[in-house]
Parts: sequence; structure tokens; C-alpha cells
Amino acid sequence: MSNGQPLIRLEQLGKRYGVHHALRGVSLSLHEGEIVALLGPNGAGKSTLLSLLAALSRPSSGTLLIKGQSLSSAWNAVRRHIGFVSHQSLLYPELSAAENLQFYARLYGLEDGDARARQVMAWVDLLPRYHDQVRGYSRGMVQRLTIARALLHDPQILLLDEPFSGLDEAAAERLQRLLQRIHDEAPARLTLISSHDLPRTLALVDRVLILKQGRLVVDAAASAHDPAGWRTRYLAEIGG
Amino acid sequence: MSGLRALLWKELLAEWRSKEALATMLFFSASAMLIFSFALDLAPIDPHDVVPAVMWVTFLFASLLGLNRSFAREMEGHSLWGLKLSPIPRSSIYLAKMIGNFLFLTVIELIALPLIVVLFNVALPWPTLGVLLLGTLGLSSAGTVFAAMAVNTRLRDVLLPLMMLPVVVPLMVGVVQVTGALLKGRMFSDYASSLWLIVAFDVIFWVTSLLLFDFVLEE
Repeated sequence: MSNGQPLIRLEQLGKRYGVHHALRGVSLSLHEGEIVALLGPNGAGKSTLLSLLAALSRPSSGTLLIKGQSLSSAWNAVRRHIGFVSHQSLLYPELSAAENLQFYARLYGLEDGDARARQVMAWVDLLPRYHDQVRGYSRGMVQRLTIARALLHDPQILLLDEPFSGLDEAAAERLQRLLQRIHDEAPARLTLISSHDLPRTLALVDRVLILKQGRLVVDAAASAHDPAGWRTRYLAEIGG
Repeated sequence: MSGLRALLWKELLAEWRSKEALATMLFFSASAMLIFSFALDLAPIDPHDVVPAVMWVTFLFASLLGLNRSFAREMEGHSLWGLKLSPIPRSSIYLAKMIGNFLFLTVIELIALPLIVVLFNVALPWPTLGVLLLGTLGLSSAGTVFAAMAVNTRLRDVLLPLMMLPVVVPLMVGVVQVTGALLKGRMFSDYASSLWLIVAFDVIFWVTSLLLFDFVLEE
């Protein structure tokens, strides 16, 4: 863990939807180069936390600083630093991968969108399908293309919400290797992975956060337990 | 500006590939015109009294179909999140959607006009095109912001007409009156107040939608 200024700092962060508290007083700091697991049962607040970090919604209370900037004062500047992979592809199925990536490259103001799009397509081993419509991609290919889209603008912060969900064993295995390679190639990037797939996620990360009912109940180094130990602790923490 | 151009390019390309909005609007408009032409007994009345209302009611309901599709497309892969994640002004998203909706509806109207001439046996003077553009601008300006509000709701297909129809009543009154006056060859002074009503509606909705779209896209 780095000792420098945190890339992300949360202080007593809360999010409420009507009377439902999705997040309650979450405080933590995330640093450059960390790869962090965000675990918790359904409804624990993982997706809510990621959507706040991605600047998709505003917190109801508390402070959220990304690279020292508050979201309310510098939303667009902050968005340039963030890559987000959600359950959904955020892609247009009727467009080709090339058209989708070049479209997003233009939204991010990238100089040579085509070259950058080809580069990220090569990273995710999809370059031969560059001109194919996304509608014809398999679920695993869409997930890799989604990661290519998230990496297009070379973000300093990569947020992944359930990246393994809906993938078969082979596709999940391939995605795990891809995430490891992406992190190795940009070791300064902060990566935060929300997941229910403990073995795969724990194999990637160096820090573990567990949320329960909107509260952060565990913040520990991944090395604190072996995978079996983490499974036991996870079940104990969430009351399983 | 480059963000706006990219968004507009994507709107046109996605519609060109799927043709969902254009096909449904065209089918609806042609069917409605045919039904009106057979259902209405035009013998005892002047068709110039009926055509403006038939025309604008058809275009209004056709616009609802296109507006629904324009944001429904963003929900298929949740690509609206992709736009919200991007470092572009929210007003660019509104402008691109609004211009796209305006262009698609205009194309449908231009195809439907000859059908009106044939089915109702009326001559449409050239200034009718000007009213058509102003009315379409009003429908697109207001409709785009309401479609954005409805898109995240479960009942979006129902909610859009419920929100939009009462609001566009002044616009519809204005365009029907001006179109009727033009068809009957009336003087400008006879329909000037209705024309200003249309212009005021367009300006008010265009400006307020641009200003409020940030909040509309929030959750």
C-alpha cells in the first residue's frame, strides 16, 4: 500500500434512496497501485459505492474526494480519471466494436481514436473482430470489449462491478488472466473489483473490503488469510 | 463541440442500422392518414378545416413513438451510463438527442406530406414547411427532455405521453391554427399571434431543457 496522497478518499460517505440507506458512514482511502476487492452480499451497497466513485450519482452525505478534487466542483475533470465496467456493457449492439470505441474515444477527446481503439482491442484479444457488430459477440467477448472501452482513455482508477458474473468457467478464467495482465502493465493504476466470486477475486487483489448493510465491516490486507480463511471470515462477517 | 458531433453521429448511425424509430413512425403516420381519410366524411365540409388537425395529431403521436425509441436504445446495454461517465457537458447529450429526434420526425413528415395532398385533395403552400419545422422543433425540444425523464421508470411507454401531451397543448393549438390559416390563404396578421405562440414555446422549451438536463439525468 502506498503512503502518498490517496487517489480516492471517503469520509463518512452515505447514500440514501428515499428511506432506504444504501451506504452508511463509509470512510476509507484508496491509493495508487492498489488492487482492491469489494465484497459483500446482495444489497450490501457495493454497486452503490461504485456508482458514487464513478460519479454516476451524488452522495447524500459525507465527503468523496478523487485525486483531491470534490465531485461537486470538478465532475468532468474527475470523470477523465475513471474507467468503469458495470454488469452492463454500456455499448451499442447495432454498432461495431470499432464504431463503439471510436465514439467513446471522441467523447473523451482522444487524439487518435482509431489507433488507441486498436491497441485496447489487441490487449483484450479481440482485434480480429474489430469491425464486427457487438450484437454478434458472445457474453465473454462483450465483457472483454467492455474492459477495452473502460481502458480506452487510460484511466488512473478502474472500477469493476461484478466482472465475472454471467461468464462460463473458461471465459471467467480468461478474464481473470486479462485483469492480472492489465494491472501488471499499468502498476500505478488503482483497481477496485466488486465481486461474489471470492476465489478469483482474492487471487487478484492485495486488499479486501467487506460491506454489510451499507457499512464497511472489514478493511484488511489480502495476505491476512489464505483463500479458505477469507471464505470463513467472509461468511462470519456477513452472518452466512 | 467534438462531443456533440460524436453524439449526433452515433444517433444517426444507430438509427440508420436499426431503423426502429423511422420505421415505426412511418408506419404509424401512413396508417393514421389512411384511417382518417376513410373515416372522415369530407363531402359536407371544407378539407382545409380538417387537414391541419389530422396532420398535427398524426405527427404528435408519431413523435411519441420516435422519442420513446431514442432513449430506449440507451437502455439496451445501459449505454446512457456510458454517456454519463464521459467528460462531456450533459447539454451535449440533450442537443444530440434533440437534433436526432428533430431530423427523424422531419423525414417522416416530408414523406407524409405528399400522402396528405393525395388523400385529402388539398394543396399545401410552401410556407407550411416553415410551420412544420417550427412545430417539429417544439415537439423535439419538449419531447426529448420528457423522454429522458421517463426512461428510467418502469412505465416509460405510458409516462411519456402522460407528461408530454398536456404540455404541448399550446404548441398544438398554435401549429393547427397557423397551418389552417396558410391552407386557406389568410393574411399574416390573421395568424401572427399563433405564430408567436409557437416561437415562444420553442424558445422557452429549448432554453429551459438545456439548463435543466443536468438534473434530469441525475438518477
